[in-house]
Amino acid sequence: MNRSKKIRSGILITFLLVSAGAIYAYREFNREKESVAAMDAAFKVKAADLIRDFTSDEGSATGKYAGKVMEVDGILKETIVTAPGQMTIVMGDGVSSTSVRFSIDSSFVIDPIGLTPKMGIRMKGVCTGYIPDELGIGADILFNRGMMADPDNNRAIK
Amino acid sequence: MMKQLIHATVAFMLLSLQADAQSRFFTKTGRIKFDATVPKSPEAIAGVNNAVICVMDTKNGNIQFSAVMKSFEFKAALMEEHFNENYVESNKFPKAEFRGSVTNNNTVDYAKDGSYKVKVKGNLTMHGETKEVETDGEIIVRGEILEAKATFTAALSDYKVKVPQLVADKVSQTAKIIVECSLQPLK
Repeated sequence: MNRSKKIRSGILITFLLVSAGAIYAYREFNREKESVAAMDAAFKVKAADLIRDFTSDEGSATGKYAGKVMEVDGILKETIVTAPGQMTIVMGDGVSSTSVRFSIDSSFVIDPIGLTPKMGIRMKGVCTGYIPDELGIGADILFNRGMMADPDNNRAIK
Repeated sequence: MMKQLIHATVAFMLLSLQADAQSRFFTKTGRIKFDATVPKSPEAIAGVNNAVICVMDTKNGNIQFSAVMKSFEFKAALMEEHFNENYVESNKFPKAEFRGSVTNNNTVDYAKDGSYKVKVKGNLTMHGETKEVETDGEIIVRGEILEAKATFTAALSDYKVKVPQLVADKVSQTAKIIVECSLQPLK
């Protein structure tokens, strides 16, 4: 291989590497969050068990659950709509004042009319952590990007 | 006579408890917007937390809010990952909180609808660091509901949040923390 051919090959390889790097960086920078609906739940638990885990050892439960996609079975306490597209579904174990709160993913609409307090409900979302009852208003286990675990109960916003 | 005295004492205690409860307002769906955008930012560096817990006592103006860091949502996945892993290290420091008070609480008539300019002062804890902060805010009295709004400015270096040199000119060194809470009476 003569010298000019080597230089051309070097330039081509450099160009390909830089292009691949740029494409990767662009795609990574613009990467959207994967839909929770499409993600498998790392844990499927009952609200009572989740509440027990957090109230008995907050640090260990936070390490285990925070950041994980989970499905939680519990009893509906209330449905709160704070603004258009901003909804929170609160569930509990039917006994304690600790709640499991799902901030609903803004890309879904859940019709609150069919949701009545004390009914059984199964939610899916990303656990974000726990706020103990330091303010005298009950402790809370928090979830983001919440949705009904049964996909038929969510209406995607096109 | 003794029985009447006991009844009167119990009634007084219950009334005191009720009065105390009525002076406390709370929400568990407060909103904090974190914004560290600068003109050179390729897009808004902003996240929103819609699960902020806030309690206010109108009797003395004491106000406290708590937020879980992982509850901040960013539009881009990469930004949210960097926020949690590199900047606020939310696994190590999972919560932020503010404990303070409305310093001019006596200028707010909580019994009368209206908008009141207030000054808020207290300690903001984030990333394991606590700093005293002071800012202007607004309390809107609307019937039984209190709308509380305030914008804090926090120098990231005060809270030992390190911004990598590579993106230093694309991220503001002082974050705006915009707090909006619609508080209802604690019954």
